[in-house]
Amino acid sequence: MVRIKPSVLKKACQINPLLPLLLPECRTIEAAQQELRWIQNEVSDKKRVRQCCMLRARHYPLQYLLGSQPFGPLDVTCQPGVLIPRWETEEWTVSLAEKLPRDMAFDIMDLCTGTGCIPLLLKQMCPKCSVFAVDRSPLAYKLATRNSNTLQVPLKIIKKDILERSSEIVPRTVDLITCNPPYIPRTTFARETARSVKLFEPKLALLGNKEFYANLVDCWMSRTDAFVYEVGDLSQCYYVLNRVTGDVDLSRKWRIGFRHDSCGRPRIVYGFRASGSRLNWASILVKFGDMKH
Amino acid sequence: MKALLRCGFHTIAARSIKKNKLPPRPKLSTQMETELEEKFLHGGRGPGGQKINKCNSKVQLKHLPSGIVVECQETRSRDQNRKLAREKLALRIAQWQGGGGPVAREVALHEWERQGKRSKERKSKDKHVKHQEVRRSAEMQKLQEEEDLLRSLLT
Ligand SMILES: C[S@@+](CC[C@H](N)C(=O)[O-])C[C@H]1O[C@@H](n2cnc3c(N)ncnc32)[C@H](O)[C@@H]1O
Repeated sequence: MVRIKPSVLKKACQINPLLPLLLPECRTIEAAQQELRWIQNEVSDKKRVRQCCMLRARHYPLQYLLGSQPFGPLDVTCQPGVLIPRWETEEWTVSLAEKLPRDMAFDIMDLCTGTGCIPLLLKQMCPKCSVFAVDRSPLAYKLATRNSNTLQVPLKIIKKDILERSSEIVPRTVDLITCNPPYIPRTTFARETARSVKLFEPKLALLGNKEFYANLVDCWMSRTDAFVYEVGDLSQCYYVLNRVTGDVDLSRKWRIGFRHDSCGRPRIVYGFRASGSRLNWASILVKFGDMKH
Repeated sequence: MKALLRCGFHTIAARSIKKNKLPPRPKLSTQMETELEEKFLHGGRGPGGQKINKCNSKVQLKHLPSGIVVECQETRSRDQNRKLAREKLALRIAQWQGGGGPVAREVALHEWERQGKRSKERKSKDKHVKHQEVRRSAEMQKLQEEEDLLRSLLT
C-alpha cells in the first residue's frame, strides 16, 4: 500500500487533529472527513470518538466500532468474529428482492449466512416466504439469531456445515438458494486482501475457492429450482457454467447467467431450471444479469 | 430577567410559523422518476467483494431534462442516501422550474429554524446531560472490551 504523503497528513491535522488517524484506512482527506462525521453522528462522547479514531488508525473495522452496517433498509448488527456485510452483497440482494414476487409463498434458503443480512432482507421484502439460513460458525449462528429477533424478521436458522453435513439439512428442497460463500483463494489472500479484513475478520468467512461452487453443483442444484451465488472472480462463474454445460442432463435442464456489480466486477453466478418449477424464474430473473447458457 | 425575556420572545415568535403548516416539501413525480439516471460512486479500481471493506454509500442522481446533478453520502446507508438524494433533487428541480429563486417551503423553513433554534438548544442540553452518564459508562465498557480484543490480536 502506498504511504500517505506527509504534506497530506499535515493538511489533515490542520483541519482536525483526528483526521490523520483516519487516513490510513480512508486514504483521502475528503473520505476521512466523511467518516469522522459518521462516527460523530453515532458516538456522542468526545473521548470515545477519539478512541474510535485511534482504533481506525490500527485498521480496526468501522462497523465493529459502531456496531452495525446498513443493508438495504435494515440496520444489521455486526460483531467481531462474523463477516461484515459488503456493499456488493447489499446491491445484488436489494435487486433480487425487488424482483421476487411479493404476494406468493415460497421457500428460500441462504447458505453461509453470517450476520443473516441476505435472508433478513429477502424475508422483509417477501413476508409470505419461509426463509432458512445456514452457517457452521457458532458466532454467526448467534448473531443471525439476534438480528432476526431485534429486527423482528423471522428466520429459521440452522447451525450446520454445508460441505460436510448437507444431507442433514432440512428442508430437502426449496425454490431458491442464495449464498455468499468464502471465496478468496489462499494464493491471493495475503497479496490482495485489505489489512483491516486480514487482521480483524474471520478467516472461516473469507478463505475458499472452488469447493463451495462444486458443492453447489453436487449437492444443492438437485434440491432447488434456482440459485444465486456471489463470486470473487470470473473463474468461479465459469467453473459453475462449465460443470453445467459439461453434463448432458444438467445442460438440458438449467439456464445459467452472470451478473456484474456497479463497479463492473463479476459478482454473481446464477441459474434456474428451464421448466417445471413452481415460480417462473426465467421471467423473475429476466434483467438480473446476462444469460450465458 | 434575561431568562424571562428569552422565554417571552420564544413563545411569541413560535406562534408565527408552525412546522406542520409549512408549504409541502417538493416531491419527485413518477414522471420525473423515469427521467433520472442513478449512479453509485465508488473510489476506483482494485479488488472488491470480501477482499476489502469500504463503506460505499455514495449516490449520484441526474435529472436528464434539466441536467441537474446531485450527490449524497450523508449517511452510511445507501438506501437512506438514495432517499435523501431524491429530496435534494426535487428541491433543485422546483427551484429550476421556479426560475432559480428559493421555493416557498425554504423561506418558511428558514424562518422557522431561526425561531426554534434557541428553544431547541435549551431542551436538548437538558436531555443530553441526563443520558450522557448512562451512555458514557456503556461506551467505556465496550471500549475496554475492544482494547482487550485488540491486544490479544496484536500480540
Ligand atoms: C463470506 S461470509 C458471508 C456472510 C454473509 N452471507 C454476508 O454476505 O455478509 C461466509 C460465511 O460462511 C460461513 N461458512 C464457512 N464455511 C462454511 C461451511 N462449510 N458451512 C456453512 N457455513 C460456512 C462462515 O462462517 C461465514 O459466516
